Amino acid sequence: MTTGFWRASLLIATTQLGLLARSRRAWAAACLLLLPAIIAWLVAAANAKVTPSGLSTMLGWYALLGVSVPLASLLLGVAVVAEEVEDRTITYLLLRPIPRAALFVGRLAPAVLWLCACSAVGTALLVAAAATARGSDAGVSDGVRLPLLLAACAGVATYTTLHAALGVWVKHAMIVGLAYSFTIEGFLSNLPGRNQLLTIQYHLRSLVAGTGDDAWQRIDGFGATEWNPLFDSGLVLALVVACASAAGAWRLARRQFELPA
Amino acid sequence: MTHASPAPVVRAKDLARFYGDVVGVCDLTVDIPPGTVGLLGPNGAGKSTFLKLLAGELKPSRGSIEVLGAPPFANPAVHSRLGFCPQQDALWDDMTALEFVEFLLRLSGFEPARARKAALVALERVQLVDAKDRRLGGFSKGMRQRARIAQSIAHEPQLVVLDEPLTGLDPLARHATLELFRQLAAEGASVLFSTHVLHEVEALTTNVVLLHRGRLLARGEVPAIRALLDRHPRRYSIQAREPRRLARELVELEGVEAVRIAEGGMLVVETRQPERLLEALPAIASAARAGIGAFESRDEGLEAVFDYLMGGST
Repeated sequence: MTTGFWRASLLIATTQLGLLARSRRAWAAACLLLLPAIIAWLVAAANAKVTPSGLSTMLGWYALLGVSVPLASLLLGVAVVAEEVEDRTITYLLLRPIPRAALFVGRLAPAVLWLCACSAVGTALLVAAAATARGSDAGVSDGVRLPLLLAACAGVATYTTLHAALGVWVKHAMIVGLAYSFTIEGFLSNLPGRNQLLTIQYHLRSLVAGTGDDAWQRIDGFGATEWNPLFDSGLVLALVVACASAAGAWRLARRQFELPA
Repeated sequence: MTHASPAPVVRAKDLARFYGDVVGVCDLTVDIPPGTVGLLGPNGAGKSTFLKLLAGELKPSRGSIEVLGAPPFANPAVHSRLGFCPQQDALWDDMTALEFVEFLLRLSGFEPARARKAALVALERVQLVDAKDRRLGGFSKGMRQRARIAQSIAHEPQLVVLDEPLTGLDPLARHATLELFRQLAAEGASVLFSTHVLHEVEALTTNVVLLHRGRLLARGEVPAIRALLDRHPRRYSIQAREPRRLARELVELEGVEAVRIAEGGMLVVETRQPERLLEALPAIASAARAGIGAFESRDEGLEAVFDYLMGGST
């Protein structure tokens, strides 16, 4: 008696979702995604000149998309498979009559779902906190709110899948993931020129700056940047997710894990 | 009329597995028949590596292994008929015992109601049914071991493979677990388990596979091994307040072959008649006013007899 891919994925995912809610790592990632909202609230309270749209776009761009989303995804993404290896519980899953790819998908899906939910809450709270700013402007419009929500969710899905695949391929995925986040996503994405296209960050920014409110165009240093259309960036992010998923599942199907007794 | 011997449940041919420069198992060719088989060997003999290869957790570096007629690595067809109890004390600590076994049964293709029923039966068999709703994180070492055994037998596999299954169990649980293995064998399952303690195998089966330093040393019957053990002098360590005085008395005892004082003043006695030594020691120690502080067997594992079989010095 064997279990099919989708059924096994669903079983693992539902069980994993329950375990995730009790995991310290999951809550640490959630805190990271809520951090920009706390900063927004503190800044709005302390600075009378800051405006709601200025504060929400600035913190959404730099703190949420630039820092919180990549780091929270890294924290949970590398653990998708690596946590089971570290805990040495992967044996139970590998030795069941299921396709190994289901293990990857079943563990990845709850992590993405959790981070999407936290991103949505984090974005909503960020916008709500920014709206309390006392400077006068048009307020936080849907053109700020909705693209930011879309980009945050797309960001956690893309980064988490990428880091999950990394966790299957390399031994010290956290270190490699940190190096990638700082050098490629943190550094390259902020350099002028077309090199930005190589980063996920550029495509996330395209989702907001290319489609949203004019307020996004006022972010310092990015006024002259040429952004991708929504469809193109969405397609690139979807391709990254698909390729990383395939690579992670393929590797897991072939990999052996040497677990200490 | 001749009877064909039953097909082996495990067939390894020139099997080797290396961890970098370290040998796990090497050039292992063995057929394991159906029934209960003990995999014996001292620590580091390659038992766990062999069982991991057999369960499909590891791939061979060289050679081949077939379990129930097929290579086991990433093979769902084999895994549906195989139950594996790993040695590592790893469980999902936030799950209850019932959730743990039930979840793994669902992954084995059981429908929810059937999975619940089979999980309860398995937990009953390892005497954990009263603790079924407790989190595994709060379990004692022995209970955790029994939970691991439960998941390996719950789906009624054709072959149950257990890596050091009796480690961490108290004498009562150990007895109950041995009885469980007997029942599994009586129900027609093949049971392959590893241990480094000979009498654990003797309690279950006469069929053993002996590994030493990653290689197959012998395959055969326990009585032959036991006879070797009995021919081989047993060593005991005795910590005494007056080791020299005690040594003078012990060297006269029947069956004692050698007495020496090791590092730290520990007395090491070699005897071919351990029962005689155990019987006489209290009286000798008392008469010599030697003040015994500790007494232990140096041959608790199989290292001595394995070295003996290999022709090494002990």
